[in-house]
Amino acid sequence: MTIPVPPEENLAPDSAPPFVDVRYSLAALLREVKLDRSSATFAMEKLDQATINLLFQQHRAHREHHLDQQ
Amino acid sequence: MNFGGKVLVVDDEAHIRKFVTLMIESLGVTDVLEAANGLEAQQVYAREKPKLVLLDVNMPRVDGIQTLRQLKQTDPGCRVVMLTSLVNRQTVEECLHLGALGYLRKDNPPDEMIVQLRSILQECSVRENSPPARP
Repeated sequence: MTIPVPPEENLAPDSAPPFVDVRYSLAALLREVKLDRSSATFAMEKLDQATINLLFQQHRAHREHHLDQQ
Repeated sequence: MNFGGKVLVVDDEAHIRKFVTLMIESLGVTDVLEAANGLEAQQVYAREKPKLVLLDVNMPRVDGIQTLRQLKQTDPGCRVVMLTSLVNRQTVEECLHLGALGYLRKDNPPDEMIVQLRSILQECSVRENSPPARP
């Protein structure tokens, strides 16, 4: 069974198109991430042991990479 | 396990210190020291120079974060692993940036704690001749 799709020209003039291309600047995105990270909900998030270990591993890898570059 | 060095366990609760000490001893470490607060930890550290410090965060008078900061100021090479039930992201990230080597949840089941502690002791042995974590 197929559902009939109305041709575009038959859409009501005030109906919004199904998809809208939205672009954010990197600066705006970073600002939003920073805000999120400083929010109480994010800061008070309870971390499990696996996530904690992952954070420490990433930090160590980043530090070692930085030391290698020096 | 061949861990040639002392481990200092810092916690204000005696039964936790005893529990952690027993676990570390079960991994073959024979020299385990204890301190009941941050102030005592700094004194024991200066005197005994342990290879690893397991440090509680929530303690009266001088808390674990303050103690970590002070230990790193006096000896940037000290190896500290936080051992705590305080696991919010803010506290974990603060300890990470202050130069803690790791962070262990106190509420892990004992067998999981043993696995984590073994891995930390092995890492300390491997890193003995490499540069330690700095803030």
